[in-house]
Amino acid sequence: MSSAGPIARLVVELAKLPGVGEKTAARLAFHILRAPAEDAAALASAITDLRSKIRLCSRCWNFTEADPCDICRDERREPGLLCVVAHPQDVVAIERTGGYRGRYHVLHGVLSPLDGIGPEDLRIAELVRRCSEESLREVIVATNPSVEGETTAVYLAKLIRPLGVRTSRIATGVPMGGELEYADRLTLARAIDGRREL
Amino acid sequence: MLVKDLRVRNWRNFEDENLRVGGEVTVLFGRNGQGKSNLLEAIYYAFAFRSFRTNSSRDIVRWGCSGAEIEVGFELGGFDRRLLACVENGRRSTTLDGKSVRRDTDSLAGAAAIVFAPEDLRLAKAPAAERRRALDRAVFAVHRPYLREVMAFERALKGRNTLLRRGEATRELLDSYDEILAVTGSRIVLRRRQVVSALAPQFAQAFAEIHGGAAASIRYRSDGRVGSVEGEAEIGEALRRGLAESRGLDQRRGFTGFGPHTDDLEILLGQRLAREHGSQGQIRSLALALKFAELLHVEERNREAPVLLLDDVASELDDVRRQRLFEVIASRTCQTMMTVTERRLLPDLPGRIDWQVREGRVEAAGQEA
Ligand SMILES: Nc1ncnc2c1ncn2[C@@H]1O[C@H](COP(=O)(O)OP(=O)(O)OP(=O)(O)O)[C@@H](O)[C@H]1O
Ligand SMILES: [Mg+2]
Ligand SMILES: [Zn+2]
Repeated sequence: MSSAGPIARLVVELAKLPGVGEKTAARLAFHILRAPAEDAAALASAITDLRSKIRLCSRCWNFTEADPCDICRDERREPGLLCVVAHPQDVVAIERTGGYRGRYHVLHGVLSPLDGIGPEDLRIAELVRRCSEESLREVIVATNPSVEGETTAVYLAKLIRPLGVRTSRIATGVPMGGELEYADRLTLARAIDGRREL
Repeated sequence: MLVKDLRVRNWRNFEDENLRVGGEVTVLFGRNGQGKSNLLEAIYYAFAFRSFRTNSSRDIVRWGCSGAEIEVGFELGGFDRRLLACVENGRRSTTLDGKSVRRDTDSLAGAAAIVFAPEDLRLAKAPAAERRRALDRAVFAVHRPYLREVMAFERALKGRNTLLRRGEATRELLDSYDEILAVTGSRIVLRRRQVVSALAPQFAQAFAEIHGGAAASIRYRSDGRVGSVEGEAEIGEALRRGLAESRGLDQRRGFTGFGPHTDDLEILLGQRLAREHGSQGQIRSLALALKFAELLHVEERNREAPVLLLDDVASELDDVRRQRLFEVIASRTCQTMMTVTERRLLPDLPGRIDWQVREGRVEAAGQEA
């Protein structure tokens, strides 16, 4: 069916999104088709804007519209304190706790040889550079307590400690192999407060 | 713990079947290849979150389906509970009384299933990997978080091996993996040692009763560098050092040849390894003794009887050993589910409920065929 072209194309694209299967993708596609034209246009331009306006902060590598990002430019942030996270959404989760006053560094993943992800695939060299250029007092590693997250934390400590910067690990209370429940603000706030030396 | 009912949906060769489980003995009988073992596997899966026959969730889902479900009603600590284990497109999830739970949830502490399958009868002569797996299952039955600990170790080990094979890892990167392996590995060694020393006396006694003759014993064997130290921190340090020492060799061979994944549960008759010197009959008695010891240990530690799953074991044993097995079953408080092809092998156990399994259907059956 040649008329199914645009629908099929959208279904294929939607089905690439995490958590969206073929069925859901088809339902969404038909929903968009039936909705008012301006809704579809708004969705399309939101998606385009996302890619054209959002870039990576050249200091912390978080997503941002302005470079450096708002957090990196915020003078009230404690300059000596850096929290290393795996993903931009982790910054959002920690900001929500309201208790953390330092800045961030986003790795964009964790070490995972099984998935072919090594140090060169992450923003690790950039982190090491920050550790020697900015006068940091402490680096808090807030990766998940998964095997990959723990290994990344240990690896970072091995690189950063020789530079004379204190390295600590958030206390998750979750045994290795677990996932941090980022939904729970209190747990996360406590994890940061109860951090231990790496 | 008391299992009361089981429902399976798109599990192996079952479309949608349910059955009531007897308080004491439930017998699943039927010809070969009808689905008897699949039902025991479902019970085990629900409580252990993994199968005792396969590691792939693709195997357990009914061919042509995207997911499977197991629902178990049971009583634990005086409360009626419902456990629902789902596999959907390879993703597993579990809910307990409608609430999503983690596999090592405290709410399931004491809920344990012990399996005894024909391949376990050769355990004493099996490759060390199978004995390690049996030991790990025995630890898990009394300590649910152990599953997570083992999986963390295995994942770190796979990571290190991948790095070794690629041959481009920096020293710091390998150091990091060694650190994680030392931390997770020391926990594993410690727990395995604890369970071996808890099982040892029961095992020796059970073997003497079943078989007699030479005294049987078990011990946990690690590399000498680890075996000679005690305490979690000390074991961790020994592992760290051992991994560092074997790194050069590991890099040449492309895998990690040192650590708890090379340890063994040694089973001895007198001073000799049963693996090398045991007769067929002794090997079977050793396996039976080890299961009895595990059963007693789990009952004692959990203060809850486990459910005992006997897959086709009756037909694999001679009259004397089968007799002994049924005596033990009758004397224990634990609930038993067993599969057989020939019901005539079974005595009239009290409270016995029989189900016939035929081509993926389960039908109630009277006691006598
Ligand atoms: N994923 C699956 N989907 C459909 N059928 C399956 C699946 N996995 C296994 N089977 C079928 O299940 C049957 C085996 O069931 P099971 O191992 O429970 O047999 P059994 O009754 O214990 O037999 P035996 O007495 O030989 O041990 C086989 O016929 C096999 O084809
Ligand atoms: Mg079978
Ligand atoms: Zn920034």
